[in-house]
Order: sequence, then structure tokens, then C-alpha cells
Amino acid sequence: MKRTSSLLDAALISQLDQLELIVRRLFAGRTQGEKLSRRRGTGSEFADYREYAQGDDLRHIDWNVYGRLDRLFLKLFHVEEDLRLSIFLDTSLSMSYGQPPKFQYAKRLAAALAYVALVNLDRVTIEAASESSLEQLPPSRGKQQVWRLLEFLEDLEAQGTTDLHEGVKQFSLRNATPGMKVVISDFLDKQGFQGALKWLLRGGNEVVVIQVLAPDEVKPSIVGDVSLQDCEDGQLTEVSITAGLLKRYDANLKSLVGGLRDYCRTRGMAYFFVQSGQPVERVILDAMRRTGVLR
Amino acid sequence: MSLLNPLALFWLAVAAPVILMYFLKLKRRKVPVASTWLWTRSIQDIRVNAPFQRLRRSLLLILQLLLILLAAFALADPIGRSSPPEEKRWAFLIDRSASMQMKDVKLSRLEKARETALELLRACGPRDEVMIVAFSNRASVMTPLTSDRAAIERAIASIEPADTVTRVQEAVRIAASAVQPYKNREIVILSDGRFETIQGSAEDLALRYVPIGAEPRNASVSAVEVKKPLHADDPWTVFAQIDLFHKEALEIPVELHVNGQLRGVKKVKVPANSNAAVLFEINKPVPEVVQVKLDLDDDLEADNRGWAVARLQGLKVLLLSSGNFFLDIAMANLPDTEAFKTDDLSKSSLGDFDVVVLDGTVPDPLPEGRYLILGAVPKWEGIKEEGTSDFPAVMDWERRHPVARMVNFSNLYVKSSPKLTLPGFATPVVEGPEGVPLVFSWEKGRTRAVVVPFKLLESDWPLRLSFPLFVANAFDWLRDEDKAQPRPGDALRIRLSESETEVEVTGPGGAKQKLTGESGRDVVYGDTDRCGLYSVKRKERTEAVALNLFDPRESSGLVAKELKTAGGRVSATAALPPVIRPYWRWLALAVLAVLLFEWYVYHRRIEI
Repeated sequence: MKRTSSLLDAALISQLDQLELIVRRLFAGRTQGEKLSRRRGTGSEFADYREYAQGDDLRHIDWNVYGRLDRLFLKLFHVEEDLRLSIFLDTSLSMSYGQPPKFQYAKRLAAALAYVALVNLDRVTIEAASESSLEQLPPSRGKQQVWRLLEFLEDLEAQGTTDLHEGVKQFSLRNATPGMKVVISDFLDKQGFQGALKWLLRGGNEVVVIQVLAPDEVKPSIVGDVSLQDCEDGQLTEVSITAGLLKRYDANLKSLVGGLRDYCRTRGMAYFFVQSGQPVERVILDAMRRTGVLR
Repeated sequence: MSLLNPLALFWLAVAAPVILMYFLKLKRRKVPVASTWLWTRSIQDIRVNAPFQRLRRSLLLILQLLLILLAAFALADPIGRSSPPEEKRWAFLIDRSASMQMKDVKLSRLEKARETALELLRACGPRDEVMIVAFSNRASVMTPLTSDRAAIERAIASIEPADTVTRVQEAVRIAASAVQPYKNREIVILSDGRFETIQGSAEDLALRYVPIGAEPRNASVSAVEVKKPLHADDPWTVFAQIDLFHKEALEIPVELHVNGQLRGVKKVKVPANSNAAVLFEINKPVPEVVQVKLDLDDDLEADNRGWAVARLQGLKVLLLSSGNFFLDIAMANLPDTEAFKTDDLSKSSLGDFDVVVLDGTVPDPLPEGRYLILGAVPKWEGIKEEGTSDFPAVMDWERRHPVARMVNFSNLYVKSSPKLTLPGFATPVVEGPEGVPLVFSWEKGRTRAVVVPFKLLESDWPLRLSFPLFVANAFDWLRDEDKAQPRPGDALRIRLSESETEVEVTGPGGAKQKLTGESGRDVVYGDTDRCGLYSVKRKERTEAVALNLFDPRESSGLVAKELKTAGGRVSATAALPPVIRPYWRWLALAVLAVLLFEWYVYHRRIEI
């Protein structure tokens, strides 16, 4: 890999090359890949026996069983097929907030996960959506697609307001094929996250929820009498920021984060809370490996 | 409290922009955030606390306004002072009399008075004028009204103590005449207050009395007397009285020095706040000068010694008479008297004799002196003569007069006597009909005389027993010098004899001063602030003059709680007028503290 990108640097890429996505369930893929498929076929991993029927491939008859039982059985193997990785990236304006910006960080996370998938011959789809926009990376497969993917991600810009519910719903409908679904957002949606996430539970997907917040949001450094401007809808909120207010803000944030985490945990989703100040490597190489999303 | 720079209060106007900025600040700073919904949820939680919010918000404003207030006051240079800053004329009357040497306060009362005066001076406004008058038994202006601080301080420092009694009136008069023309004035008396009633009302004089002193412990020699024995073989006696001004009895060693040599020590027990006498007897040598000294470390040193000069020579008497048998006999029996007789006045000088007896003639003019005048009337101012009174009978006599002591004038036969009218200060000793004086005494200036206007030989008096008694009494009274005993601070008048034109006076400290004058006249020696022996070196002999304090008022050292004036009282001002204290430093410190507190409030976002 000679070219470099602002999203992935050489050091990270060399580490990502060693990784692969792990799924706890078997999915049926479309093309042959490296993941075991639910379908039986010509893989290398034994799955089951089946009585011979007319027309079956004679190469798969287990002659040892025939010798013992005098009946013909076919040896079935798991087909090694590709995994469908779909990434939903929240591109609302709120993602552009923070230092470093959450959006850039989200793009790096998406790029890293997509890269791991591409290297392992998995099929990758990325949808970047806000209420007013939708950018899609058509399903891609193979390492040669990496640059297309990176370019797609780099060209993304944050715009519009958040409508996580509608966005995830559409994403889920468009990517009905079971597989791994990754949602990257700050989840700062006035309507809550439950309505959105329940769409991902359809069809037995492996769901990974990544919540990205800026350090400034976790521990605000704003002081005094200010007028807070919502960067999505421009709404002004006049507050006098005091220790008491900050305490309550902290409590509210914790209840949001904790609520999201508990929601995911009880529904078998993998949940990650990251701050845009943390290095991406740590999230990918450390946290995701530890929780078994990557190997 | 007053402000040195009240214009600086205009800085308070700075508060206006701060308040303005405060309102402008309500147009809040816009801070973009990803989403406000977490914030709005938080605000909803604390909306119930809105009044506290506002209060907290305005706390910073209040602190800032307080800051401005403090800073403006600091710039206005506030000072603590009760008197207005307009010009004031002060007269500091500083007592330097003997009692001010008391050491019952630190260093001495005079030192304390000086310190207090300097403190007062510092409290004066910059344009105030101050005069310094030091007073003992007389007043001296150390500096007239001036605003020159250095000169005033020098004047205060140059005040020397004196072993004298205290008289304040002259000082008050001088001070009052200096400050009277000014409306804003004050006379401050720094003293222990032991002096006469001040003439004039306290309000008119604008008097303030700052008492100096505490409770003293003092013993003093209050009298010393040396007596020549009647017989040459008997010892001389020295009598001394010791006063104690202390609440506990003391045993005091009393030393006797004769002619400069220690001749005896006696321990005298003096009861508390009382006195005791001590008697010494001296056989040899013949004392000329005796000194009685208390060997005691008390609060006042000046009164621990007393001196007495023994009279060795007898009374020198000149009898100017054409011959009077009865007078000769009467004078012959007088003790301790050296009589000279002449009938020609031009041959001797009256000034060389202690007492002159004029029998029948009176020279004109008559110099000051002591006279017994018989059968003549001196031409002194105030005596009027209108004819004669024939056979005047003695109507009454002044029995308490020293001249009339034990003398019976009744049944005196006189042929005739001039009808005299006397001035008020002359005392008729024996009166005839219609108040005609038959004998009178005269005391004016340094002149003392006993006058018998009628002719002795035209009466039966010389034959009576009362006559020699009267002569003896008259001499006793004429020689009596107790009243003329000079005190420290008094000017010494020294009569030059006919052959002298100068004398040399040596003070107790050894300072010599030559005084020159006309023969037969007085010269005046004024440097007598100190107790002790002054020696006067004349042409033929050296005389000693003892100046003793001998004043219980000075020795007692009691501090008067108030001053008496003719118009009322001046109570002691315990506290000096508050000395100027600049407050701006404290205000500046307060500014700093408020600033720190404001910083704390702003950054720590004080809990609601």
C-alpha cells in the first residue's frame, strides 16, 4: 500500500491487515468468501451428512460410510462465503462538532472497519445519511476497492439535521441481507435512539453501535452566561453555566450513554462509546478485539 | 474621617460603564454546540432555582461595584482625623517645671510631653501653624506661629527642664495673644496641671489640657536651716524637713555635707504621704554651706538635695544720729549686730550696710534699703503730711505685727506728731486719734522701713520698757530675709558695693558669668533654672546663694485631673486627637481581597 490517506495511515493499515471481522452467527453470502456460510456446499469445513438423492455430485459421496452402512450419504460442507458489512454513518451537522471533529473520527472508524472487511474479501456497503442527504457506497468487495472506499469517505461532508430514526430505518430496509450492521453516530437525537435501533434487530443481524462524542461534550469547558447555539437547527438556548448546571448536564449525559449501552447489551448488540480525542487504533485494535468484533 | 482628595470620588463614575457592560453582557456570547437538547434538559432540572441563578449572576456585578467603590475611596486618600482640614493655629504650652522631671512615665514627663507634642504636630494639617511655648515659673516662646515643621521640631527638642515652680498664666497670655485673631485655634497645655487658676474662660481661650504623668514615688527635702549657736562653745545645728509623697512609709538615709564634705548620715523613717524632721549638730568646722541630701532613687532627682548658707557675719548697722543716748543703749544689747556710728552722711555709703538707723534726719533721695527712721518722715510717694496733732493719745496698735510683738504702747505720752495720710501698702502699727499713725511699717520693692514720725526726745517712750523691745523687734523684722529667699528661676539681684563695678557668678553647673554695673546699683543674674549653690565673687569676698525648690506642689508630682480657669474647668483630654491615619492601604488591600473573591466566584462557579 503505497498511497496514504488522511483516514488511514500506513501504520494502522499494517495492523488492520492482520484483522478480520468476527460474526457469531452464520450468514448466507452471495459470493464465495472467507466466512462460513449457512449454506452447505463446497467449502472446506464439514457441516453434515445427507442421504444421496439422484443428481447429486458423486464427488461428495462419503465412501467410507457406504462401506460401513451400504448406503449412500453425501458429505456436506459449509460454503465459505463473503460477509455483508453495512455501515451507517450519521452525517448530520452535529457530527461536525468537537475538537477533534467527531465526523472525521467517525469516518476513520468506518474506514478502518471497511478496510478490514475488504481485506478479508467481505462485501462492504456504506451509507452516510442525515435528514436531508444520503450518500451511498455501492457494495464493494476486494482489496482493490479500498481507495474507492477511502475517497468516498473523504468526500463526505456533514450537513443537515439528525433524523436517526428515519435514516436507520431506510438503511435497514435497503440492506435487508443479513450481515454485520454498524451504526456510527453521536446519538444526540431529540427523538431518542430506540426507534432507530430496533430496525437493526430485523433479520438477525450482527449489530455494532458506535457512539462518538467530542471530549468537549463529555466535559464541557464552557463557563458563564452564554447563549448555546445548536449547530443543526441554529436554536439558541440561553444558559448560565454553573457548577450545578454542569453537574446536571453530566447526569443527563450519563443517563443517555448508560441507556444506550443497556439497550444494546440487552439486545445482543455490541456497543462502543468513544471520544473523538481517543486514538482510533485503540478503539479498533483494543476495544473491538476485546469484545470480539474483530480478530 | 476626611478625604484628602475628594475629587477622586469621580472615579465612582466608572461604575456606570460596568453596569452598562453588565447589561450588554446579557447579550450572551454565542457558543456553538452539537446539540442543545442535553443542555435544555439540564436547565429544566434547575429552573426551579431561577431566583438563585439571578442572585448568583448579580453577585459578580455586586463584587465589581464594590471593587470600584473601594478603589475610588482608596484614590480619594481617606484619613482618620477629627479636625477639619482647614488651617488651624495651635499653641503647644509645654511645662518644663521641676515636676516635669519626674520619671514616673517612660524617660521623664518632659520627654513624654515632647513626644506627645510631636504626635500632635504630626496630626496637624499641612497648613496648620504651630507655636511652642515652654513654661516654668516664667514663659518663653520657643518658636512663634509657623508652619515650618523642622523649626517646630527643633523648638520642641530644645526645651530644657528647669528646677522651678510652675506658673502658667504668662504662657497662656502669650499664646492667647498669638492665636486669638484666628477663628480656628487651640491652646494645648501639656503639663501635670499643678499650677494656678488660669485667668480667662476655657472657651475663649480654646484650651485643651493633655495631662502628663502617672503616680509618682517621691521624697523631697522641703526645708534646710542652719543655726548659729548662742554660745560659741555650743554646736551649730542643721534642721531639715523631709517630705514623702508615696503611699508606703520609707526609711530614707539623709546625708549631711558641710562645706562640701560628708559629715553625717542619718536614717529617717518617713510615714506614708507625710513628713519627718531631722536634726544634725556640728561642732567643727564652722559651717559656711550645708547640703542635706537624700540617698534615694526616686522619681524626682531635683528635690533630693537642699542647701543652706550660714550667716557668719553679724548685721551691719549704721546709725546716723547727732547723738541719742537711749538709742545707743537699746542698740548695744542687740545680738549679732555690728554697729557703726556717723553724723556725716557724706563719709559713708548707705548701700554697704544691712540696716540704717536714721535719727531725726532723712537724706533725699533715699536709696533702697532697710531703715529704722526715728523723728522724721521720709519724702516717699504717697505720704501726705497735713499739720501736726498735739498730744495724740494711742488709740490702738496692730498686735500681730512683728514690730509690735510683746510691746505695750498704752499710756504713751507724745508731745506732737505730724498728721500723716499713708498709702495702702504701708501698715500703721500704732494709731493715734483720727487714724494718725504714730508708728508705721513700709514695704515697697527692696525697701523695708519702720518709721516713728514723732521726736523721741519729745515723748516719754525712751524711758519706757517698750522702747528697747520695739527696737529689737524692728531690727528682727528688718533683717528678716525669709520672704526674700530667692527660688530657682528667680532673677538674682546683686547689689554692687560702692567700690565694685563687677561681680562673677558661678552656677551649680560651673558656668561662670561676669556681671558689670554701676557702683551701688543692682545687677541681675537670670540663669537660675537649676537648684543648687550659686557663688557670687565680689571684690573682697565670695558669697554663696542657695536656691532650693522647697515646693510641695512640685515635689508631690500629682497630676491634676482638670484645670481651673476663672470661667470654669478644662477637663483632661485623655486621648489625643486621632492622629492622621491614611486608610488607602487598607482599602487597596480590600480591593485585592474582593478581586480574589471575584476571581474565585467566577472560576469556581460557586455552588447554587
